[in-house]
Amino acid sequence: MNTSIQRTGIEAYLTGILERSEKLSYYARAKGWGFVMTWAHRIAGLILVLYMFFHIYTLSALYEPAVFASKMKFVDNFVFGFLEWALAVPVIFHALNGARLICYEAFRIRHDALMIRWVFFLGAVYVLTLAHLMFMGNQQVSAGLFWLMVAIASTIASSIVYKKLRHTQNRLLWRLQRVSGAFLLPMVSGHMFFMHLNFQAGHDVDTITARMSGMGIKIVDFVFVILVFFHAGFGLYTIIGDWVEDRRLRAGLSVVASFVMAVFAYAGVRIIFSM
Amino acid sequence: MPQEYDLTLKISRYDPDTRRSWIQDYHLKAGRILRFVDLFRKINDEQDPTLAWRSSCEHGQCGTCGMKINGKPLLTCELLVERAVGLFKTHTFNVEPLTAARVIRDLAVDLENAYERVHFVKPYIIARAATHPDGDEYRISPRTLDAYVEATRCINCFCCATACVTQRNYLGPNAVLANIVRLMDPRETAKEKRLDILYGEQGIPRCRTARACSFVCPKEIDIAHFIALAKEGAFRPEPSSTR
Ligand code: SF4
Ligand code: SF4
Repeated sequence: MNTSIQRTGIEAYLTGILERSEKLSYYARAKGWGFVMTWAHRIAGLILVLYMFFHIYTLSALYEPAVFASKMKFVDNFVFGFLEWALAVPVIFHALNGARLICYEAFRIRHDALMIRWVFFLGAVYVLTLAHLMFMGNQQVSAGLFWLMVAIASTIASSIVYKKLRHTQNRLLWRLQRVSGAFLLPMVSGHMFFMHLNFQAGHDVDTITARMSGMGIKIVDFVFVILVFFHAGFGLYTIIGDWVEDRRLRAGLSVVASFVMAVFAYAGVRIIFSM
Repeated sequence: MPQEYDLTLKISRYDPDTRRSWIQDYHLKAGRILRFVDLFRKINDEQDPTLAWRSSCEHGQCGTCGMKINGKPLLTCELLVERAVGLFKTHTFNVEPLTAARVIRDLAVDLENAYERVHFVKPYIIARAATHPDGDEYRISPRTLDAYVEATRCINCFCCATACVTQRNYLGPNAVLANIVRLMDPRETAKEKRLDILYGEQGIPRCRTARACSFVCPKEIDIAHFIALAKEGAFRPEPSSTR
Protein backbone atom coordinates (compact mmCIF):
# COMPACT_ATOMS: atom_id res chain seq x y z
CA MET A 1 0.00 0.00 0.00
CA ASN A 2 3.03 2.22 -0.02
CA THR A 3 2.19 5.26 -2.10
CA SER A 4 5.70 6.50 -2.76
CA ILE A 5 5.90 4.76 -6.14
CA GLN A 6 2.71 6.44 -7.20
CA ARG A 7 3.94 9.83 -6.03
CA THR A 8 7.09 9.52 -8.07
CA GLY A 9 5.11 8.30 -11.07
CA ILE A 10 2.76 11.25 -11.07
CA GLU A 11 5.43 13.76 -10.32
CA ALA A 12 7.83 12.47 -12.93
CA TYR A 13 5.15 12.74 -15.57
CA LEU A 14 3.39 15.95 -14.75
CA THR A 15 5.87 18.06 -12.86
CA GLY A 16 7.66 19.15 -16.01
CA ILE A 17 4.49 20.59 -17.52
CA LEU A 18 2.72 21.84 -14.45
CA GLU A 19 5.73 23.19 -12.60
CA ARG A 20 5.59 26.15 -14.90
CA SER A 21 2.60 27.22 -12.85
CA GLU A 22 3.99 28.19 -9.49
CA LYS A 23 0.65 27.96 -7.73
CA LEU A 24 -0.21 24.50 -9.07
CA SER A 25 3.17 23.01 -8.29
CA TYR A 26 3.07 24.54 -4.80
CA TYR A 27 -0.13 22.63 -4.04
CA ALA A 28 1.01 19.52 -5.89
CA ARG A 29 4.21 19.40 -3.87
CA ALA A 30 2.38 20.13 -0.63
CA LYS A 31 -0.65 17.88 -1.02
CA GLY A 32 -0.21 15.81 -4.17
CA TRP A 33 -1.74 15.90 -7.63
CA GLY A 34 -4.88 14.21 -6.34
CA PHE A 35 -5.57 17.35 -4.31
CA VAL A 36 -5.08 19.57 -7.36
CA MET A 37 -7.31 17.25 -9.42
CA THR A 38 -10.06 17.46 -6.78
CA TRP A 39 -10.08 21.24 -6.92
CA ALA A 40 -9.97 21.20 -10.71
CA HIS A 41 -12.92 18.76 -10.65
CA ARG A 42 -14.88 21.13 -8.45
CA ILE A 43 -14.10 24.22 -10.49
CA ALA A 44 -14.94 22.42 -13.75
CA GLY A 45 -18.22 21.28 -12.15
CA LEU A 46 -19.12 24.83 -11.14
CA ILE A 47 -18.36 26.10 -14.67
CA LEU A 48 -20.65 23.42 -16.04
CA VAL A 49 -23.47 24.35 -13.65
CA LEU A 50 -23.26 27.96 -14.83
CA TYR A 51 -23.16 26.83 -18.45
CA MET A 52 -26.22 24.61 -17.92
CA PHE A 53 -28.17 27.61 -16.65
CA PHE A 54 -27.07 29.60 -19.71
CA HIS A 55 -27.88 26.68 -22.02
CA ILE A 56 -31.43 26.31 -20.70
CA TYR A 57 -31.87 30.08 -20.94
CA THR A 58 -30.80 30.20 -24.60
CA LEU A 59 -32.85 27.10 -25.47
CA SER A 60 -35.92 28.68 -23.90
CA ALA A 61 -35.85 31.09 -26.84
CA LEU A 62 -36.95 28.14 -29.00
CA TYR A 63 -40.51 29.00 -27.97
CA GLU A 64 -40.10 31.99 -30.31
CA PRO A 65 -38.09 30.75 -33.29
CA ALA A 66 -37.35 34.28 -34.57
CA VAL A 67 -35.78 35.28 -31.24
CA PHE A 68 -33.75 32.05 -31.18
CA ALA A 69 -32.53 32.64 -34.75
CA SER A 70 -31.43 36.19 -33.91
CA LYS A 71 -29.62 34.93 -30.79
CA MET A 72 -27.85 32.30 -32.84
CA LYS A 73 -26.83 34.95 -35.36
CA PHE A 74 -25.23 36.87 -32.51
CA VAL A 75 -23.15 33.87 -31.43
CA ASP A 76 -22.30 32.81 -34.97
CA ASN A 77 -18.71 34.08 -35.00
CA PHE A 78 -15.19 32.88 -34.31
CA VAL A 79 -15.08 33.96 -30.65
CA PHE A 80 -18.26 32.06 -29.71
CA GLY A 81 -17.19 29.13 -31.88
CA PHE A 82 -13.96 29.01 -29.92
CA LEU A 83 -15.79 29.27 -26.58
CA GLU A 84 -18.11 26.46 -27.64
CA TRP A 85 -15.09 24.30 -28.36
CA ALA A 86 -13.29 25.41 -25.16
CA LEU A 87 -16.32 24.32 -23.13
CA ALA A 88 -15.36 20.77 -24.02
CA VAL A 89 -12.30 21.11 -21.75
CA PRO A 90 -14.18 21.32 -18.41
CA VAL A 91 -16.83 18.92 -19.72
CA ILE A 92 -14.47 16.10 -20.63
CA PHE A 93 -12.16 16.74 -17.69
CA HIS A 94 -15.04 16.55 -15.20
CA ALA A 95 -16.45 13.45 -16.89
CA LEU A 96 -13.18 11.51 -17.13
CA ASN A 97 -11.92 12.56 -13.72
CA GLY A 98 -15.27 11.51 -12.28
CA ALA A 99 -14.79 8.12 -13.93
CA ARG A 100 -11.32 7.90 -12.36
CA LEU A 101 -12.81 8.59 -8.91
CA ILE A 102 -15.51 5.95 -9.41
CA CYS A 103 -12.83 3.46 -10.49
CA TYR A 104 -10.87 4.23 -7.31
CA GLU A 105 -13.82 4.25 -4.93
CA ALA A 106 -15.93 1.41 -6.26
CA PHE A 107 -13.69 -0.86 -8.33
CA ARG A 108 -10.48 -0.83 -6.28
CA ILE A 109 -8.40 0.50 -9.16
CA ARG A 110 -5.46 1.91 -7.25
CA HIS A 111 -3.15 2.82 -10.16
CA ASP A 112 -4.07 6.41 -9.62
CA ALA A 113 -0.97 7.90 -11.27
CA LEU A 114 -1.75 5.98 -14.43
CA MET A 115 -5.41 6.93 -14.24
CA ILE A 116 -4.51 10.61 -14.00
CA ARG A 117 -2.43 10.25 -17.16
CA TRP A 118 -5.38 8.61 -18.90
CA VAL A 119 -7.66 11.47 -17.88
CA PHE A 120 -5.30 13.94 -19.54
CA PHE A 121 -4.58 11.77 -22.57
CA LEU A 122 -8.20 10.88 -23.37
CA GLY A 123 -9.28 14.46 -22.60
CA ALA A 124 -6.72 15.81 -25.08
CA VAL A 125 -7.78 13.30 -27.76
CA TYR A 126 -11.41 14.28 -27.25
CA VAL A 127 -10.98 18.05 -27.50
CA LEU A 128 -8.64 17.74 -30.49
CA THR A 129 -11.16 15.49 -32.23
CA LEU A 130 -13.84 18.09 -31.65
CA ALA A 131 -11.59 20.80 -33.12
CA HIS A 132 -10.95 18.59 -36.12
CA LEU A 133 -14.68 18.03 -36.62
CA MET A 134 -15.35 21.75 -36.41
CA PHE A 135 -12.80 22.46 -39.14
CA MET A 136 -14.08 19.63 -41.32
CA GLY A 137 -17.56 21.14 -41.42
CA ASN A 138 -20.86 19.27 -41.45
CA GLN A 139 -20.82 15.48 -41.14
CA GLN A 140 -23.74 13.30 -42.04
CA VAL A 141 -24.78 10.91 -39.29
CA SER A 142 -27.97 9.13 -38.43
CA ALA A 143 -29.15 10.98 -35.32
CA GLY A 144 -31.35 8.05 -34.28
CA LEU A 145 -28.53 5.53 -34.48
CA PHE A 146 -26.07 7.88 -32.79
CA TRP A 147 -28.31 8.51 -29.80
CA LEU A 148 -29.26 4.87 -29.53
CA MET A 149 -25.59 3.96 -29.22
CA VAL A 150 -24.98 6.70 -26.65
CA ALA A 151 -28.07 5.70 -24.65
CA ILE A 152 -26.92 2.07 -24.62
CA ALA A 153 -23.41 3.06 -23.48
CA SER A 154 -24.87 5.26 -20.73
CA THR A 155 -27.23 2.56 -19.56
CA ILE A 156 -24.46 -0.04 -19.42
CA ALA A 157 -22.04 2.29 -17.57
CA SER A 158 -24.62 3.35 -14.98
CA SER A 159 -25.88 -0.23 -14.51
CA ILE A 160 -22.36 -1.47 -13.75
CA VAL A 161 -21.85 1.24 -11.12
CA TYR A 162 -25.33 0.70 -9.69
CA LYS A 163 -24.70 -3.03 -9.37
CA LYS A 164 -21.40 -2.44 -7.58
CA LEU A 165 -22.74 0.11 -5.09
CA ARG A 166 -26.28 -1.21 -4.62
CA HIS A 167 -25.60 -3.21 -1.46
CA THR A 168 -23.18 -0.82 0.20
CA GLN A 169 -24.21 1.29 3.17
CA ASN A 170 -23.37 4.55 1.45
CA ARG A 171 -26.22 7.03 1.48
CA LEU A 172 -28.75 6.75 -1.32
CA LEU A 173 -28.01 10.17 -2.82
CA TRP A 174 -24.27 9.52 -2.64
CA ARG A 175 -24.75 6.33 -4.63
CA LEU A 176 -27.07 8.07 -7.09
CA GLN A 177 -24.41 10.70 -7.67
CA ARG A 178 -21.99 7.99 -8.86
CA VAL A 179 -24.66 6.21 -10.90
CA SER A 180 -25.76 9.47 -12.57
CA GLY A 181 -22.10 10.37 -13.19
CA ALA A 182 -21.56 7.05 -14.96
CA PHE A 183 -24.68 7.67 -17.06
CA LEU A 184 -23.61 11.20 -17.94
CA LEU A 185 -20.07 10.33 -19.06
CA PRO A 186 -21.16 8.86 -22.44
CA MET A 187 -24.22 11.12 -22.58
CA VAL A 188 -22.49 14.49 -22.14
CA SER A 189 -19.45 13.63 -24.22
CA GLY A 190 -21.79 12.20 -26.89
CA HIS A 191 -23.92 15.34 -26.78
CA MET A 192 -20.94 17.64 -27.40
CA PHE A 193 -19.63 15.32 -30.06
CA PHE A 194 -22.97 15.35 -31.86
CA MET A 195 -23.16 19.15 -31.76
CA HIS A 196 -19.71 19.40 -33.33
CA LEU A 197 -20.48 16.84 -36.04
CA ASN A 198 -22.95 19.19 -37.55
CA PHE A 199 -22.96 22.90 -36.84
CA GLN A 200 -26.66 23.19 -37.67
CA ALA A 201 -27.52 20.63 -34.98
CA GLY A 202 -27.33 23.23 -32.23
CA HIS A 203 -27.93 26.48 -34.08
CA ASP A 204 -30.71 26.09 -36.63
CA VAL A 205 -34.27 26.18 -35.29
CA ASP A 206 -35.70 23.80 -37.90
CA THR A 207 -32.90 21.26 -37.45
CA ILE A 208 -33.26 21.35 -33.65
CA THR A 209 -37.04 21.06 -33.79
CA ALA A 210 -36.88 18.18 -36.26
CA ARG A 211 -34.32 16.34 -34.16
CA MET A 212 -36.23 16.77 -30.93
CA SER A 213 -39.61 15.78 -32.30
CA GLY A 214 -39.08 12.00 -32.06
CA MET A 215 -40.32 10.27 -28.90
CA GLY A 216 -37.09 8.28 -28.53
CA ILE A 217 -34.91 11.36 -28.40
CA LYS A 218 -37.37 13.08 -26.07
CA ILE A 219 -37.01 10.24 -23.58
CA VAL A 220 -33.22 10.29 -23.84
CA ASP A 221 -33.12 14.07 -23.39
CA PHE A 222 -35.57 13.87 -20.49
CA VAL A 223 -33.41 11.41 -18.56
CA PHE A 224 -30.35 13.45 -19.52
CA VAL A 225 -31.76 16.73 -18.16
CA ILE A 226 -33.06 15.18 -14.94
CA LEU A 227 -29.75 13.46 -14.20
CA VAL A 228 -27.66 16.52 -15.13
CA PHE A 229 -29.54 18.72 -12.69
CA PHE A 230 -29.61 16.05 -10.00
CA HIS A 231 -25.86 15.56 -10.40
CA ALA A 232 -25.20 19.30 -10.36
CA GLY A 233 -27.53 19.82 -7.39
CA PHE A 234 -25.91 17.07 -5.34
CA GLY A 235 -22.48 18.42 -6.26
CA LEU A 236 -23.48 21.85 -4.93
CA TYR A 237 -24.97 20.22 -1.83
CA THR A 238 -21.68 18.51 -1.04
CA ILE A 239 -19.71 21.72 -1.56
CA ILE A 240 -22.08 23.54 0.79
CA GLY A 241 -21.71 20.70 3.31
CA ASP A 242 -17.93 20.85 3.10
CA TRP A 243 -17.78 24.58 3.74
CA VAL A 244 -20.70 25.78 5.83
CA GLU A 245 -20.50 24.85 9.49
CA ASP A 246 -23.73 26.40 10.70
CA ARG A 247 -26.44 23.73 10.44
CA ARG A 248 -29.31 26.09 9.67
CA LEU A 249 -27.41 28.03 7.06
CA ARG A 250 -26.29 24.76 5.50
CA ALA A 251 -29.86 23.49 5.35
CA GLY A 252 -31.10 26.82 3.97
CA LEU A 253 -28.48 26.96 1.23
CA SER A 254 -29.13 23.33 0.32
CA VAL A 255 -32.86 24.03 -0.06
CA VAL A 256 -32.12 27.06 -2.26
CA ALA A 257 -29.70 25.05 -4.43
CA SER A 258 -32.22 22.20 -4.79
CA PHE A 259 -34.99 24.65 -5.67
CA VAL A 260 -32.89 26.39 -8.35
CA MET A 261 -31.92 23.04 -9.86
CA ALA A 262 -35.54 21.87 -9.84
CA VAL A 263 -36.66 25.06 -11.62
CA PHE A 264 -34.03 24.68 -14.34
CA ALA A 265 -34.73 20.96 -14.70
CA TYR A 266 -38.43 21.77 -15.10
CA ALA A 267 -37.63 24.45 -17.70
CA GLY A 268 -35.47 21.94 -19.59
CA VAL A 269 -38.13 19.24 -19.54
CA ARG A 270 -40.76 21.72 -20.70
CA ILE A 271 -38.64 22.69 -23.69
CA ILE A 272 -38.14 19.01 -24.61
CA PHE A 273 -41.82 18.17 -24.57
CA SER A 274 -42.97 21.35 -26.26
CA MET A 275 -40.95 20.64 -29.45
CA MET B 1 26.38 20.13 -2.01
CA PRO B 2 26.76 23.09 0.38
CA GLN B 3 27.64 22.28 3.98
CA GLU B 4 25.64 25.22 5.23
CA TYR B 5 22.55 26.96 3.94
CA ASP B 6 21.35 30.55 4.36
CA LEU B 7 17.72 30.07 5.24
CA THR B 8 14.76 32.34 5.74
CA LEU B 9 11.92 31.01 7.86
CA LYS B 10 8.68 32.95 7.57
CA ILE B 11 6.92 31.81 10.70
CA SER B 12 3.24 32.33 11.51
CA ARG B 13 3.00 33.91 14.93
CA TYR B 14 -0.07 34.29 17.13
CA ASP B 15 -0.33 35.99 20.48
CA PRO B 16 -3.43 34.75 22.35
CA ASP B 17 -3.30 37.70 24.79
CA THR B 18 -3.66 40.34 22.12
CA ARG B 19 -5.15 37.96 19.49
CA ARG B 20 -2.69 39.38 17.02
CA SER B 21 -1.43 37.23 14.12
CA TRP B 22 1.56 38.09 12.01
CA ILE B 23 4.33 36.55 9.94
CA GLN B 24 7.84 36.95 11.32
CA ASP B 25 10.97 36.43 9.24
CA TYR B 26 14.01 34.72 10.77
CA HIS B 27 17.29 34.50 8.88
CA LEU B 28 19.70 31.82 9.95
CA LYS B 29 22.56 29.68 8.78
CA ALA B 30 22.06 25.96 9.17
CA GLY B 31 23.98 22.78 8.43
CA ARG B 32 22.46 20.37 5.95
CA ILE B 33 21.49 17.64 8.41
CA LEU B 34 19.85 19.89 10.97
CA ARG B 35 16.16 19.13 11.39
CA PHE B 36 13.48 21.81 11.45
CA VAL B 37 12.96 21.29 15.19
CA ASP B 38 16.67 22.11 15.55
CA LEU B 39 16.10 25.33 13.61
CA PHE B 40 13.30 26.37 15.98
CA ARG B 41 15.54 25.61 18.94
CA LYS B 42 18.32 27.65 17.34
CA ILE B 43 15.91 30.56 16.91
CA ASN B 44 14.87 30.24 20.58
CA ASP B 45 18.52 30.20 21.67
CA GLU B 46 19.97 32.84 19.39
CA GLN B 47 17.22 35.17 18.23
CA ASP B 48 13.83 34.94 19.86
CA PRO B 49 12.98 32.99 23.02
CA THR B 50 9.29 33.85 22.65
CA LEU B 51 8.69 31.67 19.61
CA ALA B 52 6.38 28.85 20.75
CA TRP B 53 6.41 25.41 19.12
CA ARG B 54 5.95 21.82 20.23
CA SER B 55 7.79 18.56 20.08
CA SER B 56 8.17 15.55 22.31
CA CYS B 57 9.93 12.37 21.18
CA GLU B 58 11.67 13.94 18.16
CA HIS B 59 11.86 10.49 16.60
CA GLY B 60 8.74 10.61 14.46
CA GLN B 61 6.75 8.51 16.90
CA CYS B 62 4.59 10.84 18.98
CA GLY B 63 3.07 13.12 16.35
CA THR B 64 3.52 16.31 18.39
CA CYS B 65 5.70 18.35 16.04
CA GLY B 66 3.44 18.39 12.98
CA MET B 67 3.44 21.71 11.07
CA LYS B 68 2.96 23.00 7.57
CA ILE B 69 6.17 23.75 5.73
CA ASN B 70 5.50 25.52 2.44
CA GLY B 71 1.96 24.24 2.68
CA LYS B 72 2.90 20.61 3.29
CA PRO B 73 1.87 19.10 6.61
CA LEU B 74 4.75 17.02 8.00
CA LEU B 75 6.67 16.09 11.13
CA THR B 76 9.33 18.76 11.63
CA CYS B 77 11.52 16.34 13.62
CA GLU B 78 11.89 14.29 10.43
CA LEU B 79 12.57 17.11 8.00
CA LEU B 80 16.24 17.76 7.36
CA VAL B 81 17.29 21.13 5.94
CA GLU B 82 18.89 19.45 2.97
CA ARG B 83 15.76 17.46 2.20
CA ALA B 84 13.53 20.52 2.54
CA VAL B 85 15.73 22.48 0.10
CA GLY B 86 15.56 19.59 -2.38
CA LEU B 87 11.84 19.06 -1.95
CA PHE B 88 10.71 22.66 -2.19
CA LYS B 89 13.60 23.96 -4.31
CA THR B 90 14.00 27.08 -2.21
CA HIS B 91 15.85 28.42 0.82
CA THR B 92 12.77 30.27 2.06
CA PHE B 93 10.18 28.35 4.03
CA ASN B 94 6.73 29.32 5.22
CA VAL B 95 6.14 27.68 8.58
CA GLU B 96 2.54 27.45 9.76
CA PRO B 97 0.70 25.52 12.46
CA LEU B 98 -1.55 22.59 11.50
CA THR B 99 -5.14 23.51 10.73
CA ALA B 100 -6.65 20.43 12.37
CA ALA B 101 -7.15 22.29 15.67
CA ARG B 102 -7.17 25.81 17.05
CA VAL B 103 -3.85 27.54 17.56
CA ILE B 104 -2.79 28.10 21.17
CA ARG B 105 0.27 30.20 20.40
CA ASP B 106 2.50 30.55 17.33
CA LEU B 107 3.07 27.01 16.04
CA ALA B 108 1.45 25.14 18.93
CA VAL B 109 -2.06 23.82 18.35
CA ASP B 110 -4.52 22.45 20.88
CA LEU B 111 -4.10 18.70 20.37
CA GLU B 112 -6.77 17.96 23.01
CA ASN B 113 -9.19 19.72 20.73
CA ALA B 114 -7.92 17.78 17.69
CA TYR B 115 -8.23 14.47 19.58
CA GLU B 116 -11.93 15.05 20.23
CA ARG B 117 -12.68 13.70 16.75
CA VAL B 118 -10.55 10.61 17.36
CA HIS B 119 -12.26 10.00 20.71
CA PHE B 120 -15.62 10.33 19.00
CA VAL B 121 -14.98 7.16 16.98
CA LYS B 122 -13.91 5.21 20.10
CA PRO B 123 -10.47 4.09 18.90
CA TYR B 124 -10.53 1.04 21.17
CA ILE B 125 -12.45 -2.23 21.12
CA ILE B 126 -16.01 -1.42 22.14
CA ALA B 127 -17.27 -5.00 22.50
CA ARG B 128 -14.78 -7.85 22.62
CA ALA B 129 -15.23 -11.07 20.73
CA ALA B 130 -14.73 -14.27 22.72
CA THR B 131 -11.18 -15.57 22.92
CA HIS B 132 -10.09 -18.91 21.49
CA PRO B 133 -11.56 -21.88 23.46
CA ASP B 134 -8.08 -23.37 23.97
CA GLY B 135 -6.62 -20.36 25.68
CA ASP B 136 -7.18 -16.75 26.61
CA GLU B 137 -5.51 -15.21 23.60
CA TYR B 138 -7.01 -14.03 20.33
CA ARG B 139 -5.91 -15.67 17.13
CA ILE B 140 -5.88 -13.46 14.07
CA SER B 141 -4.77 -15.02 10.82
CA PRO B 142 -1.78 -13.34 9.15
CA ARG B 143 -3.95 -12.72 6.09
CA THR B 144 -6.58 -10.87 8.12
CA LEU B 145 -3.93 -8.87 9.93
CA ASP B 146 -2.08 -8.02 6.73
CA ALA B 147 -5.16 -6.32 5.38
CA TYR B 148 -5.11 -3.63 8.09
CA VAL B 149 -1.81 -3.73 9.97
CA GLU B 150 -0.54 -0.76 7.96
CA ALA B 151 -3.38 1.36 9.33
CA THR B 152 -2.39 0.57 12.92
CA ARG B 153 0.82 2.56 12.43
CA CYS B 154 -1.07 5.86 12.76
CA ILE B 155 0.41 8.15 15.41
CA ASN B 156 -2.35 10.78 15.23
CA CYS B 157 -0.10 13.56 14.07
CA PHE B 158 -3.05 15.20 12.24
CA CYS B 159 -0.98 15.89 9.12
CA CYS B 160 -3.60 14.09 7.02
CA ALA B 161 -6.44 16.03 8.62
CA THR B 162 -4.61 19.26 7.78
CA ALA B 163 -3.95 18.24 4.16
CA CYS B 164 -7.51 17.02 3.53
CA VAL B 165 -9.68 19.03 1.11
CA THR B 166 -12.56 18.79 3.57
CA GLN B 167 -11.78 20.93 6.57
CA ARG B 168 -15.27 21.26 8.05
CA ASN B 169 -18.04 18.92 9.16
CA TYR B 170 -15.72 15.93 8.77
CA LEU B 171 -14.19 13.65 11.39
CA GLY B 172 -11.00 13.73 9.34
CA PRO B 173 -8.93 10.96 7.76
CA ASN B 174 -7.14 9.75 10.91
CA ALA B 175 -10.32 9.49 13.00
CA VAL B 176 -12.07 7.66 10.16
CA LEU B 177 -9.03 5.39 9.88
CA ALA B 178 -9.12 4.62 13.61
CA ASN B 179 -12.71 3.50 13.16
CA ILE B 180 -11.82 1.39 10.13
CA VAL B 181 -8.98 -0.32 12.01
CA ARG B 182 -11.50 -1.63 14.54
CA LEU B 183 -13.92 -2.58 11.78
CA MET B 184 -11.21 -4.75 10.27
CA ASP B 185 -10.10 -6.04 13.65
CA PRO B 186 -11.80 -9.42 14.26
CA ARG B 187 -11.64 -8.86 18.03
CA GLU B 188 -14.24 -6.11 17.72
CA THR B 189 -17.92 -7.09 17.57
CA ALA B 190 -19.60 -3.67 17.65
CA LYS B 191 -19.47 -3.42 13.87
CA GLU B 192 -22.94 -1.93 13.38
CA LYS B 193 -22.16 0.95 15.69
CA ARG B 194 -18.93 1.59 13.83
CA LEU B 195 -20.62 1.44 10.45
CA ASP B 196 -23.15 4.04 11.61
CA ILE B 197 -20.29 6.40 12.45
CA LEU B 198 -18.46 5.58 9.25
CA TYR B 199 -21.36 6.29 6.91
CA GLY B 200 -22.80 9.08 9.07
CA GLU B 201 -22.97 12.73 8.11
CA GLN B 202 -19.47 13.49 9.41
CA GLY B 203 -17.99 10.27 8.10
CA ILE B 204 -16.87 9.11 4.68
CA PRO B 205 -19.54 10.94 2.66
CA ARG B 206 -17.31 13.97 3.30
CA CYS B 207 -14.23 12.35 1.74
CA ARG B 208 -13.56 13.54 -1.81
CA THR B 209 -10.91 10.91 -2.65
CA ALA B 210 -8.32 13.65 -3.13
CA ARG B 211 -5.73 11.33 -1.56
CA ALA B 212 -3.91 14.25 0.02
CA CYS B 213 -4.04 12.27 3.28
CA SER B 214 -2.08 9.37 1.79
CA PHE B 215 0.30 11.78 0.11
CA VAL B 216 1.38 13.53 3.30
CA CYS B 217 1.18 10.74 5.89
CA PRO B 218 4.63 10.49 7.53
CA LYS B 219 3.93 6.84 8.32
CA GLU B 220 3.17 6.17 4.66
CA ILE B 221 -0.29 4.83 5.39
CA ASP B 222 -2.49 4.81 2.31
CA ILE B 223 -5.46 6.23 4.20
CA ALA B 224 -7.46 6.90 1.04
CA HIS B 225 -7.25 3.19 0.20
CA PHE B 226 -8.91 2.24 3.49
CA ILE B 227 -11.59 4.90 3.09
CA ALA B 228 -12.26 3.68 -0.45
CA LEU B 229 -12.66 0.12 0.90
CA ALA B 230 -15.48 1.47 3.03
CA LYS B 231 -17.08 3.21 0.06
CA GLU B 232 -16.84 0.02 -1.93
CA GLY B 233 -18.76 -1.79 0.82
CA ALA B 234 -15.91 -4.01 1.97
CA PHE B 235 -16.94 -3.84 5.65
CA ARG B 236 -20.36 -5.36 5.46
CA PRO B 237 -21.01 -6.94 8.83
CA GLU B 238 -20.38 -10.66 9.01
CA PRO B 239 -20.01 -13.12 11.86
CA SER B 240 -16.83 -12.66 13.91
CA SER B 241 -13.90 -14.72 12.66
CA THR B 242 -11.75 -14.54 15.78
CA ARG B 243 -12.41 -18.06 16.87
S1 SF4 C 1 -2.83 8.62 9.29
FE1 SF4 C 1 -0.70 9.30 9.00
S2 SF4 C 1 -0.86 11.53 8.74
FE2 SF4 C 1 -2.79 10.84 9.57
S3 SF4 C 1 -2.58 11.13 11.76
FE3 SF4 C 1 -2.01 9.01 11.31
S4 SF4 C 1 0.20 9.06 11.03
FE4 SF4 C 1 -0.51 11.16 10.90
S1 SF4 D 1 -8.92 11.06 0.31
FE1 SF4 D 1 -10.59 11.80 1.53
S2 SF4 D 1 -9.81 11.88 3.59
FE2 SF4 D 1 -8.02 11.74 2.24
S3 SF4 D 1 -7.46 13.89 1.88
FE3 SF4 D 1 -8.85 13.28 0.30
S4 SF4 D 1 -10.83 13.94 0.95
FE4 SF4 D 1 -9.50 13.92 2.73
